[in-house]
Amino acid sequence: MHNNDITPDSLNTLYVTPENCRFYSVKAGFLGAEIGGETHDRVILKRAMPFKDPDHYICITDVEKNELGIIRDLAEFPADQQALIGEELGLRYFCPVITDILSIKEKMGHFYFDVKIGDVKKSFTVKDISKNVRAHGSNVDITDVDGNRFRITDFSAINAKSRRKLEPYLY
Amino acid sequence: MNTTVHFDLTAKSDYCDGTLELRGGQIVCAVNGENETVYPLSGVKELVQRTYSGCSMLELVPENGKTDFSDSVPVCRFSMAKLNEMGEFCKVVNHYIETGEEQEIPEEVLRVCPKCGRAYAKGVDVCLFCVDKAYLLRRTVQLVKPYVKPLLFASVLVTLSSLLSALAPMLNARLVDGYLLATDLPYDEVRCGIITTVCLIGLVQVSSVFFRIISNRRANRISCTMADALRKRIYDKIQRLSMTSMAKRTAGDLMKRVTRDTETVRSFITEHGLYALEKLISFVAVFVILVSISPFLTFLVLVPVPIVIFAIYKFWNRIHLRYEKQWRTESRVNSILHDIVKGIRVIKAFGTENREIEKFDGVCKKLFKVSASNEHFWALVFPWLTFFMGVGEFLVILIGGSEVVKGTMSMGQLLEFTLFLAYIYSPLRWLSSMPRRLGEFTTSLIKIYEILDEKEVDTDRADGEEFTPGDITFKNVRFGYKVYETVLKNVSFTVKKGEMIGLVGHSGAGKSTLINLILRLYKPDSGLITVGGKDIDTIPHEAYRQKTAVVFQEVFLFAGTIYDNIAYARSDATPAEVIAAAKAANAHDFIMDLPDGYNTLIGENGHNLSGGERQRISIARAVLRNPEILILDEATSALDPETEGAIQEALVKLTEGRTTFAIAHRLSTLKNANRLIVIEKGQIAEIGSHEELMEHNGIYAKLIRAQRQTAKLTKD
Repeated sequence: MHNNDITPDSLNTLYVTPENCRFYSVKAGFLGAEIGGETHDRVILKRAMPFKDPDHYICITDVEKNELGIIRDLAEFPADQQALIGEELGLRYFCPVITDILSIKEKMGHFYFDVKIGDVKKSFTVKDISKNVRAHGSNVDITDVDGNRFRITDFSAINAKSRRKLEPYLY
Repeated sequence: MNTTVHFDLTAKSDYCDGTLELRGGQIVCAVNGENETVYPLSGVKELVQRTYSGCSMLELVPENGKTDFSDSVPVCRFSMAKLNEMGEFCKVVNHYIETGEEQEIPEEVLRVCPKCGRAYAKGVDVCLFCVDKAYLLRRTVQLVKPYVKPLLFASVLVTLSSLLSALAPMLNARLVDGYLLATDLPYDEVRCGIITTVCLIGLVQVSSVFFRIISNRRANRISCTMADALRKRIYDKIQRLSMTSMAKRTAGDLMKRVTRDTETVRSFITEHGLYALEKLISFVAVFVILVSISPFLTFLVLVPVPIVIFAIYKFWNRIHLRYEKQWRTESRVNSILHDIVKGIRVIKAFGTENREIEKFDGVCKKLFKVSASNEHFWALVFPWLTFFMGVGEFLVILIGGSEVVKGTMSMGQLLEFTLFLAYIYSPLRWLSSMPRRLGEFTTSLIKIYEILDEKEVDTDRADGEEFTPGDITFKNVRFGYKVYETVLKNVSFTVKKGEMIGLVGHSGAGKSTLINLILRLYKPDSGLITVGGKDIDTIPHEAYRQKTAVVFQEVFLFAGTIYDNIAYARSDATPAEVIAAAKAANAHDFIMDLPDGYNTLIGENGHNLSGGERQRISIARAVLRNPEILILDEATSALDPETEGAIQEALVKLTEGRTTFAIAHRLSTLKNANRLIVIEKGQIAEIGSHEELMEHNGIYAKLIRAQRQTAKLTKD
């Protein structure tokens, strides 16, 4: 180990903990945070690894994108704080969960999905299916032509009919 | 006037049907037709769109609001499908805030198919899901129209060839029944009959081949002419497209349209379109002949056909998916291999050879698995399909054979019938592969017409008058590459003719965007740009481009000689002018040091030039253009200080007496600028001479001090 080794803590990165950071909600529905004694009435949360590890390494910035700190592990925070953080992340990351695939039709190089998200029927179009339908562990993430995200949590657990429809497109 | 847009998410991320309307100086928001909320626009600075992952939101920023935006007012949330619609709404609202005028939301941004409600695919102006068949037919006719006569001629020839070859089974039947099985004819007559029939068979076969050869030759000629014309039309159109249209597509996408899509359309029209008439006529003709021989046997032959065609269609769909999977996996193998070969220095430097071997091994195993499974599937299913397709033949031999024995059918007729079977199955097999080929054809056709139908660079307003460059003025210019992201806001300034302006600001501040607007690569969303008192939009493109030249940081040199690359700016330049331009750019000396001088080839297989040398060639190109308006976009920032010195000297010569806009991160390179414009977050923050801005002690002074500090530290 050298004196000038680059370690996770050596680059002015502030890893926040419940001891030096407290989140609170602001009137308009924004999330505020007190970090290292400084108050920020509006902060933005961004996941560093939204697909592979959504609950670790969550970056806190202001609206001007200046980094204020990083949450290393969401589980380190108490339940009420986790709920506030989760609510904010839910607003920033919109990825409805597909519960049933009704049909996938290919027309002219585009794939037309008719799916159910809970009780709501939804249609969307996917282009370049090999790039836009990606499996991450047991999850399958789908991105449509507009940039909307959809997820199937635990592909093996979804009903067999739906699985058969999507299986040929999983690479 | 339509000022209403729809959003689709509630604050709690549930889908909804929400409306936003700009009505009487306020935004009226309703969810599912109820719970109207009114947001007055008095005291509002702007409506902004914030884009996140898979969703976005609108919020009102108050005038003199807090710097952390915590007092902004959220208006609504929406999915990415609504991004453009909401971007336009923002523009309309912000225009109202600035001017008090209400504008309409353009219809074309509400890109949803009126029939099925699906969002249109990116860059496509028809709904691919319910595309009108009449539209496709109209387009095909439009495309084929100039070639109708030769295509029909070739088609008639190939049909003739096919019908002639169909005479062979009939002659065979005559041979068997009339001569081979005839017991009551004298030997000489039989011999003569056999020779005549065989000669006739030979004659029809030779004639058939002859017609087919002529038809193929015609078809090839039409096919090459059509592909050539189509490629030229698309390429020509691409050159005329605006940068906004170009930016919607990748280079690979555009290349595919010129190469692959034209090829698909060509092959479909000349290979399948040409044979459509032949297949149809031969099917009808053979069907009539078969029915005339034996209606019952014809029925037996045709019974399994619909089932088999359906099975083949399904089989193709399945195998297509499987082979597509294999194709993607092969692509992945190739791409990994390409990365490994190209990045071998990095791999060796980091000692990660084993990791890369494992990665490649893994993807190869996957390819093996997919290919083996596909081959297995093919080997298992295809023979059965062929068998079932031929089941009719078994029935014909079984039942036809007994009829021959019974004497209700002659041997020749049975032979004729079995020979004709091939003629009836061939068009049916052809028909079964049609849906897939038709799909490929229509996709390519739509993509081609998407380009051909696209509006060209707007020259309607150009009045064609002679254009004399003068002062350049920006008046309240607002612009964004995407409707929902404004890059330049209310930019106003005037630059005198011959003045040199330095553009300063952080990365992403909007400097290059400003240059793009001066170069007329894009049109401002609102506001006015005038050159010599004339609206830039009314100046003919060609005339304007003749008076401008640009030197970019990333030099692009075409494959060819140094001479060609310099003369690219003016094809009519004399060698003396090219040499003079190279001298002015301090390039002449190094060019003359090369063994082939100005004829040195550059590019992939040519001479490798250093960054400084390439930059000097690009400056020579700009010098040769002799522009009135010169743009230097980070022209020297990629070079070492010594080379930069040599180039600076060339640039000083080049900028003399020309209206120049120069972007440079190294502020010392802007020392010759008459004035500096500092851009911060898309707006003009400071404007003035070096001395004035230093005295002002703002952003520019801060940047200068920071750079001096860095220079001092580097020196120490």
